[in-house]
Amino acid sequence: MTDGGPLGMLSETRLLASFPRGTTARAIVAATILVEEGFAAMTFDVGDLDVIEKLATPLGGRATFGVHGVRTAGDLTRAQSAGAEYALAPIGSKTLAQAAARRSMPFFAGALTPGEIATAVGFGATGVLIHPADVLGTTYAPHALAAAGSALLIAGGSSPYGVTQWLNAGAFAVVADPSLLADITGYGEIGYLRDRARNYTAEAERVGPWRPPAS
Amino acid sequence: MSALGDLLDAGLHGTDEVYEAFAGWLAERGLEPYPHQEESILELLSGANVVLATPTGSGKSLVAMALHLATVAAGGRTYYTAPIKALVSEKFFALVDAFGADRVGMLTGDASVNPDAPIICCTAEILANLALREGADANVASVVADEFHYYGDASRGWAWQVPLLELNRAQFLLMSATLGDTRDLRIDLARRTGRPTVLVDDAVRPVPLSYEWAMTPVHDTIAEIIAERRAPVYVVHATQKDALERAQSLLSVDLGNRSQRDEIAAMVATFRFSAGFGRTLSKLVRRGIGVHHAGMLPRYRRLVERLAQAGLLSVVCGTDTLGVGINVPIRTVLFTTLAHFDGHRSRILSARSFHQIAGRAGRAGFDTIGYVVAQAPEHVIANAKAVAKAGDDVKAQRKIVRKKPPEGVVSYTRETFDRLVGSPPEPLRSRMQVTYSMVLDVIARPGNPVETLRRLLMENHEEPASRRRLVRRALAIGRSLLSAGIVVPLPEPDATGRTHRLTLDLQHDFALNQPLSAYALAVVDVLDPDAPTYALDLVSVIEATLEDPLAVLLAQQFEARGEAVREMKDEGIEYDERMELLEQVTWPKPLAELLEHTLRSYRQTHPWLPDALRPKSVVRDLYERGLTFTEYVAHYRLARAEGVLLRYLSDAYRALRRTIPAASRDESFSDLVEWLGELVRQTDSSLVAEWESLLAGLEPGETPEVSERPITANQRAFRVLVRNAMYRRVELVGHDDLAGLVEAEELAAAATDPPQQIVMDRTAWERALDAYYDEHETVGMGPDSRGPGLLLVSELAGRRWEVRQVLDDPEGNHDWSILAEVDLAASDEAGDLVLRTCALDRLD
Repeated sequence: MTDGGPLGMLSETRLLASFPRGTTARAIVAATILVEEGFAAMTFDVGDLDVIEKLATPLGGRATFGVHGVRTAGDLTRAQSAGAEYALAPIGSKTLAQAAARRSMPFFAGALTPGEIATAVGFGATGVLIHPADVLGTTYAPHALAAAGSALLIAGGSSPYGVTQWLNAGAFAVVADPSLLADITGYGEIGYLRDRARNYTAEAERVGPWRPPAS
Repeated sequence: MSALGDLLDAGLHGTDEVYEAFAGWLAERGLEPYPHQEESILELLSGANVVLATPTGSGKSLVAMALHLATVAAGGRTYYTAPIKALVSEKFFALVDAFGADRVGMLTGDASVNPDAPIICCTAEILANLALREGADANVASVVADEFHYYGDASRGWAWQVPLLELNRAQFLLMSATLGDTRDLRIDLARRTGRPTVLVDDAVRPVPLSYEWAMTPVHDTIAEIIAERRAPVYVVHATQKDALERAQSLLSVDLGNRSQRDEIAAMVATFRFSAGFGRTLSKLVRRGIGVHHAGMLPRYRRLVERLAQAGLLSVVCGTDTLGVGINVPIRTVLFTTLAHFDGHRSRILSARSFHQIAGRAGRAGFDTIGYVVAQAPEHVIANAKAVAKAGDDVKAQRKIVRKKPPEGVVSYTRETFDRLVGSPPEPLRSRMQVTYSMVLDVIARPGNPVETLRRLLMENHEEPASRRRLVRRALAIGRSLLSAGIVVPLPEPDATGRTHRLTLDLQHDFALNQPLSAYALAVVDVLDPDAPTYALDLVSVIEATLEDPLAVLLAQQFEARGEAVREMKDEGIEYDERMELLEQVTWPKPLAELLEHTLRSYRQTHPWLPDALRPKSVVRDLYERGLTFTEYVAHYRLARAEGVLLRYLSDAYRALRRTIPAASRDESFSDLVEWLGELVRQTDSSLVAEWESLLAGLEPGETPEVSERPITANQRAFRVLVRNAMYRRVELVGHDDLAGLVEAEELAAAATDPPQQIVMDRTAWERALDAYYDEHETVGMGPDSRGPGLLLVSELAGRRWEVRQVLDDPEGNHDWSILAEVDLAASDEAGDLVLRTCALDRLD
């Protein structure tokens, strides 16, 4: 699954930029800056799917686009037809996992506690989205990994410091914290976006590409 | 309260009624005329010419008002003339207030408002040309010539003399604070007009002046003036540079109190200070320090005037060109030097200039005394100190090494100052000229032109020798007009005595203010409208007909020479040869060859045209570089000459709009004109607004709109601004100019205050350039690369545009682009384009 395909790039860069809902207007500028700074994957809210269509032409070859916030099979269908190549759900839902599998769409089910993580793995999801990871802190990383077994784990909502901790612990990828993009919504100062993006990519590059755990 | 217009409506018959009405009008306003005003008014009402040589602030305008009233009451037409357009329009509005809009008109070189009104405000040249065209028959019953000392101006003085020579039936009121001896002039005027010509110069200054010689260092002098509550002080400097430096050095001096600063802050809160000089000025005025000189943007000058009028500035640093039409009320004038540079060498101020400046001290109705302080030269102060230190010790006295004045600077002493204080202004010198325009005007009017010219040139105020010189020049002009077939002799004189006639229509072929515009029109026909540079070539043609903004051109030349030196060094050219070659490097002169060639052939049929053009590229350079006004000023380091640049751009805008006929315009030319107009308007709205409102014809009572309109309001012009900025970046990318790109971002960021964060920093550009040049060898910079198809603008929410400029790569893949964001709200606030490059990126 990670050889080529939508998750191939992610296994190299190991960072997901997650655009908060309503960032559509400025998405092209922000996404372009992120790509230039080494982000190769970004997700958009299920309410902002039109952005994915807009980004496909200028950035399609260098980044993959996913969707987050999906709750229903209908969301998945719409996301896929808009160009989303993978989906993150805030909740662990068996129905959703199955629907994604039918559409051959990599799907990460939301979970937080070790119990939820184990359940989500059992659904047959591509992987698990630890969400919101920062609630339990970076010391939780090895425990979450232990609960996930060999499933791909994405930690949601992390700071640059958290990136290193989670990736070193073996997480497949990390979702950059809303602090990366939050102020883009309100036409905040995008001048700092490039700097912030660099902080994240520098951390991820230090850790290097993802290696499957030795079984 | 009734205005003078109401008095006229009621009907005034005879001078007694006029006098009664005028006196009543004054009394209603609680005004009582000074004796010299009363004397002048009575003389004027009795039909005499008056030379009114009274000091600044003594109420000359009131006397002029009485003459206008008397003339109009008698059914005549009266003219008010001034040397500069700003003064003309200021007087126009004042007279509209007094007499009503339907009775007052204005004529300047650019436009006319209500030209048939009985009271006309105009520049001196307009009246002079009228006098030449119509002679004594011109419908001019009276003339008020303000700032009459311009009679002695080397290049413009003729325009003050010609009405005196030609309008023999008119009544004259000649006004100036610094006239000097006018005896000969009065005798001559009385002889020509048959009217007694009276001198009124016995006015006591409303605020007397006290003169002082300062032997303290200039900073101490200023501090002392302020401590003694003799501020506001106007500090006079020899150069604009000195004035600004002094102002900046005063930042460390404690000048004002807290509440004054708060008041200033409140007054300038909404004022837009642009990057560069604007920011410096902002800092200065907030500390109660003003700068005022001709190189500043008019809006900055007006701000300083406004703050000074509100009594908020303690110090105003300016130059000795503090001339007419400047309204800076001050208590003390401090001359830092009595020498000035006249363009050729350093010399002592003339008594006229000295009095013109010193006369500004003391605010009427506010101060009881005005102070004029002259600063002793630095070396004189130093020597005096050394002598004082030596005391009575003869040995020590002998040891003193006296300092000398700096080389090339003329020195002066206390005696020089005393002499200036005591001298009346030098007598005015006649400055008569004869030009093609003059000769053509005279030939066009009824009567024998040869006789008219003979009288004009032999019976003027010049010395006999220079009269003969003028006649010789007129003969040469006449001969060239005859041989060009523009003037032909009539077989016999017509009923008016006319012996020659013109073969062309003067109105069409001959624009008095811009004699080259007809020529420009002819050249436009030889340009190729399909050439990609057509619009810019049109600009170059017009630019060649405009006056040179020398400060700008020298900056361009400086840059060109710098580049040339680098290139020659690279090529290994020896120093001597390099210096020789360098002399030939000048500012850019597009189309120079074509223009010279066409002018040569055009002059055969239009010999009155000057024999040289001035090809240059300022508008074109600005457009091609894609810079904003502020960026251009920063690029060429023109902070002190912003005003010169703006004046030139606004002249160019007018000329482009006026000269190029609709049939010769294409879309991109129209875009360019819109862009230029907006650029001038945004930098300083007053110049264009003034002109456009005149052109549009003002409604009665309407004042010209000078409010600042948002820069984005004219979308077409704003888009050009965006396009230029984007293209500028294309060129920098094309030259692989990393430093230039970084500088461009820094300049763009400085458009807002505080400067906005830069998105494309050095690292980002470096990486992006590497990536581009890994894929492509070059960036296309031909006309295609500028095509509208390669620039995509999408409007975002929140008044933002996302702009993508696609690069014209050699393979034609069009897969790389520069992405930028434009903030419209911030642009409006800054009055300048606020654009940030976000990426140089491949599209895929």
